[in-house]
Amino acid sequence: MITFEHVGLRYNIGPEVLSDITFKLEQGAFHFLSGPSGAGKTSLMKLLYLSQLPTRGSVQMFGQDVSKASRAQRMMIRQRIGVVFQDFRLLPHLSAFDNVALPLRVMGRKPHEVNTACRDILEWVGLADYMNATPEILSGGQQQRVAIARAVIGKPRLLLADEPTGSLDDATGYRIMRLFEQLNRMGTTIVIATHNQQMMDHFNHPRLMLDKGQLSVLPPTDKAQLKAAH
Amino acid sequence: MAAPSRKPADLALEKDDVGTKFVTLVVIMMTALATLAMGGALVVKELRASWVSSVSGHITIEIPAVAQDGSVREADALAIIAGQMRDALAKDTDISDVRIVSRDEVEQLVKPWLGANAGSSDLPLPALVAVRMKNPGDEKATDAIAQTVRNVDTAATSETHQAWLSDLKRFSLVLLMATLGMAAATIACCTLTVTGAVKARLAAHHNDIDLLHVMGASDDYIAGQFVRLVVKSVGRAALVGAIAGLVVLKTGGLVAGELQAAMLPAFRWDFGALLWFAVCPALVTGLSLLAARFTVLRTLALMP
Ligand SMILES: Nc1ncnc2c1ncn2[C@@H]1O[C@H](COP(=O)(O)OP(=O)(O)OP(=O)(O)O)[C@@H](O)[C@H]1O
Ligand SMILES: [Mg+2]
Repeated sequence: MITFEHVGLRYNIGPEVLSDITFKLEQGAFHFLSGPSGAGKTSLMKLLYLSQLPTRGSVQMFGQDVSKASRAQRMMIRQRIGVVFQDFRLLPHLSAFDNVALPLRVMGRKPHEVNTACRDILEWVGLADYMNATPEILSGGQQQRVAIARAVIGKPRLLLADEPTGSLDDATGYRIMRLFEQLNRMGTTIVIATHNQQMMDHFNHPRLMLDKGQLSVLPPTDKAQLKAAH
Repeated sequence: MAAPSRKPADLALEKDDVGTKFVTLVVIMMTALATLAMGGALVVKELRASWVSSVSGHITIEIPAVAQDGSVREADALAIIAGQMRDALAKDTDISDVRIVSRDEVEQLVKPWLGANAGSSDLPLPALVAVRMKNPGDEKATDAIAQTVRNVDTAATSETHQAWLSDLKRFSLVLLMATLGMAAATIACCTLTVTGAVKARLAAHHNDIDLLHVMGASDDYIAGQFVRLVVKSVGRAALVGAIAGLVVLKTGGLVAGELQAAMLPAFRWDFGALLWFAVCPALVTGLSLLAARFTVLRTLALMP
């Protein structure tokens, strides 16, 4: 479903922050994306949600080469992708409800559809009582859940989350992770960037390891090995 | 908890109160000024029309007291020739009206030059015949009239006031252009201000625009967010400005009307005048709309 071939990315005339990245994501896959700070996790995410185009190599998404696709085609690809940003990027003047409604409105869905879907999803992330609250009166964890609700409301085929559990306590973090797994079982391909080793150990998924712009694919953490180490 | 039913604008544009108030004020003042200029232009336009129609199509025929051979003709003799002249011209179908200018009127006309006792002096005054043509500017008819005049009296001349008319036309055209130019300059200033404000907001909302873009919003959708706000706020302000300008014109017109009713032709408040005054707010809104749309689309073009 997603194929990267010898992909490189540089910002303007700066150095390559990603070089020679090659990997494949099948429909329904669930991957962690890890690596030290500044390794290029967010940059790789930007390539995946088409905020950046590769400066070399090719990125194929849903059967289309994103560099060769027309502007309208890229727009359609973006509508199939949900993103939880590292810094949430909620619109400060909009209520939780309207922030979550945004992707559906962008897609031109009917108001009654939008209303029902928003209420369901906010209930799902445990924010039924905060529909009219603006981000500034929500806690960091609550904002993160609004961001997650907004990312999944359009039933995306690909869900990208950049440190989605960073601001959450362990219990809520694990609950959110189980929500992602639930979505994954319904067919959504998921990539989660995280530093959280415990999280990666607890949930068994293959890992994309980034270091200094280079990517290596590792299998899920071996539980038996972990136990042996202890 | 009830979900809000009203769909808010996606971008936080309405929150930029300072910018909005400033822009609103500028648009109101500029449109009011442009409306005043348009009012001035309308007065000039009507003035020009009334001047031109009062002059063009009029021919004054002068039968001089001194004949071609140098002999001086008495007033009675001139009156007879004037009568012949009138009768000859009355047959011309291109002429709608012909009349002999009375001796009193002629004396009135020359009084500024010859003094109050011009009539009683022995100075020989010419006889004048005033002609009004059916189609002002019909050159063939004008030539035919000149021929008729010469046939009746070889010394008589016909004056079509062409030189004065063309001066008048040129002068009033310059005046009209000046007032319209003022209106245009004001509208241009206004549009530049709004464009600047839109650009500033665009810079402030770059991240929000990028967010909508990443969500898969079309360029039209994002541009529409700005255009809708611009049309709403600029359109409203332009309308207020135009109405304010019209109120000033109306009261100013009343004052002017009382002072010098005869000087200025008061323009009629008909549909044409309303259309004339609608040009300003429509232009301000339309140009601002285009500027907003163009600016947003140019920013979006930099995003993949
Ligand atoms: N918009 C940008 N313009 C220029 N350079 C950038 C830009 N965004 C990121 N970089 C650079 O790219 C490199 C990778 O940054 P990136 O944000 O992808 O790292 P990261 O792995 O997400 O880090 P973290 O774990 O801290 O979030 C860094 O050296 C950063 O300075
Ligand atoms: Mg990052």
